[in-house]
Amino acid sequence: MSSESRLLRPFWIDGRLEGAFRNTEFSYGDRRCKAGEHVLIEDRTFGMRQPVLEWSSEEHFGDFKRHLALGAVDMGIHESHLCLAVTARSGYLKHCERVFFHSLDDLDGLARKVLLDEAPNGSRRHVFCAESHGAVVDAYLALRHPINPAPLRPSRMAAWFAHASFRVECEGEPDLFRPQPLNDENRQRLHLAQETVRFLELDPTSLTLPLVEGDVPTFWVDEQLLTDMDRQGRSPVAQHFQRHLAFDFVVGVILEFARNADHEEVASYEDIRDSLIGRVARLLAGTKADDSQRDAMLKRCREDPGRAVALAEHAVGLRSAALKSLEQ
Amino acid sequence: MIVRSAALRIAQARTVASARPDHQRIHDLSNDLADVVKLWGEGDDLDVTPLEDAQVQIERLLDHEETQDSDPDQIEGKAACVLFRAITDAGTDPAALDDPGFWRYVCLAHIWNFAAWRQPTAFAQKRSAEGMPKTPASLKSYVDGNRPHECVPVRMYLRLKALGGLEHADLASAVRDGTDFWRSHILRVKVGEHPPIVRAMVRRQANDDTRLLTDNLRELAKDLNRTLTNVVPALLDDDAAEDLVGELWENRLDLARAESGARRTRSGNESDSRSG
Repeated sequence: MSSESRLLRPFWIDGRLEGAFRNTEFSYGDRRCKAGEHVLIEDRTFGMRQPVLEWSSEEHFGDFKRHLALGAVDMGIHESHLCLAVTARSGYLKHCERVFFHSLDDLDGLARKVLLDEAPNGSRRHVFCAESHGAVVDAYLALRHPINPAPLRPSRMAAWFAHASFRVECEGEPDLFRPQPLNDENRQRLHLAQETVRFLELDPTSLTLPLVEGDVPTFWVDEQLLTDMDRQGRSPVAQHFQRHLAFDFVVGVILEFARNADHEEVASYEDIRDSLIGRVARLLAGTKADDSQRDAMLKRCREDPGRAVALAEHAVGLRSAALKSLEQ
Repeated sequence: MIVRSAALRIAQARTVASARPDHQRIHDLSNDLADVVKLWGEGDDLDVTPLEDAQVQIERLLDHEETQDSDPDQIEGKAACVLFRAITDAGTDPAALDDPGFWRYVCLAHIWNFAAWRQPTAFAQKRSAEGMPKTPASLKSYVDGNRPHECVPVRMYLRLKALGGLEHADLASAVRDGTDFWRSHILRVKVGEHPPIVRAMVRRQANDDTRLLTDNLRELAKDLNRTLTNVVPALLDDDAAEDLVGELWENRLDLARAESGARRTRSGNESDSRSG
C-alpha cells in the first residue's frame, strides 16, 4: 500500500465542532499531555497505570457540551447521528479497540473524565498491557450513521468531525549499574587504597557483548558512604553525589570502550544494542534519539571520548544537581 | 492467569541462528537454546506443550504430499491457524505478545524449520572468508521480531489477528499467491488493525471474479487509505466495512475492466490497420 500521509479533508466543519478537543487532555497515571503530545513511561509501570481522558476542565465542561450541541444543529445534523468515540491501538500487535463510545443525544449523561482501561469483562484491556511498544489513544467526534449527503459535509458512517491523538511511549531500561559496598575485605582483595571511594570492575572484552539480565558490571562504592547516602537520600548533597556516581560509571565505560575499540572492525549500534556500551550510547543520545543518532553517539564514544564524557555530565543532569547542593 | 514468558535477547538469537545448519531440518530445536532462553514475569511458567504440538502439526503440513505443489503462502495461512491456536492455548500474556524477545523464542524454538522452508534464500547460511558462520542480514527480519510484518511467527499470528481470530480461519489461506497481499496491504498498514475491513478485502481477493492484479490492488489500497483518513475504522461493523470496501473495490474493478477493454480495442485497431 502507498505510504502517502497527506490529509485530504474536503469538508467544511463548524469551528465549534472542529475545535471541540482543543482543551482535551489525557493522563496515564501521574503523567499528563495535551492532544498531539505524548507521555513517556520510563519505570516499567505501563501495565499498571490508569488511562484517563478528560474532555475539558471542570470550568469549561458546560461550554464543551454546549458547543457540540450548537455546532451539530448549525451543520444540520441531528445529535443522535453523532458520537464521541475513543480508540486505543498498539501498532505492533495490529490491535485497535474502541474503548469509549457516547451518543451526542445524551450529552447530559456524559462524564467529564473517562476511564479507558477496563474491558467489558472487567479485566485490563490488552492494549494497555503492551508495554514494549506503548499505545496510541485517539478521540473522535464522528457520525454514528450515514446521513444524507450535502456539499462539503461528511456523510459516510464513521466519518469524523474532530480528532485528537495522544501517545504513550515506553522506555523500560533496566538498571545501568548497581553499587556494591566497598568494605575493607574487598578493598584488600582489589588492591585499593584506604581513601578510594569508588572502583569500576569491568571486563573490557565484555563491553560490546549482550548483557544478560542482572549481569551488570560491579561498581564498588565505599560502604560507609553508601550507608550515609541512603540515610540522606533526599538531601541535595546526596542527590548530587548519586548523580556523580552515575557519571563516574558512564565515564568508566566510555573510556574503556575507546581504549579497546577495534577501529578496523567497527560495530554499529544495531550490532551492540543490548550491550553495556549500547546502553550508554542510548543514554547519551537521549530518549528521543533514533538508531542513527545512537549510532553517531557510539562513534563519538569511540573516536572522541572526551566530548562523550562531557555529554555524560549532561545526560545524568550533573550541573543542576551540583548547583542545588551548593545552595545550602 | 499470569504466565511467565520465555524470551531471547537479540544478540543471543542471532548467535544461535548463525550457528544452525543450512538446508536441513533440525529435529531438536531446543538443544542449542537451553542456556539462552530467559523466563521473565510472574506466575506459572509458560506452558510450551501447545507450541510443541503446533510445531509437529506445522512440519507435518510441509511433509504432506499435497503441499509439494501447493502455494507456499496458502500453506503459511494454514500454519498460521495452528500457531495462533497454540499461542492462545498456551495462555500467553498480552505483554509477552508485544515483546519481540518472545517471538524470537517462538521462531527459534518452534517455527525455525517452517521459517527456513518459507524463506529459503534468507535462511541460506553464509560463511565469512575465514569459514565462520555469518548471519545473513535478511535473517534479522525473519527471526528477530522487530518487524512484525516480516518476522515469520509474528506475521503468522497477526494474519489471524487481522482476520478477527480462528472463527475466520478459512480466510487465512483463501487468497492464492497472497504473499504481497498480506504483507503490503494488510500487515504493514493500519487497515490490518480492523478485522471487518480485512475480511471484506480477503473475500474479494480470494474470488477469481473480483480478484485484482498487482497494479490495481495497489491503486485500491491507495483509494482505501485516502478514504480511511476521514473515517474512524474502529466504528465500522461488518456491514459497514463490506459497503465501504465493496464500493471502492467495484470502482477499481470497473476501471480495470475499462482499461482492459480499451487495450483490446487498441490492439484490434492496430491489427485491422496492419491487415488493411
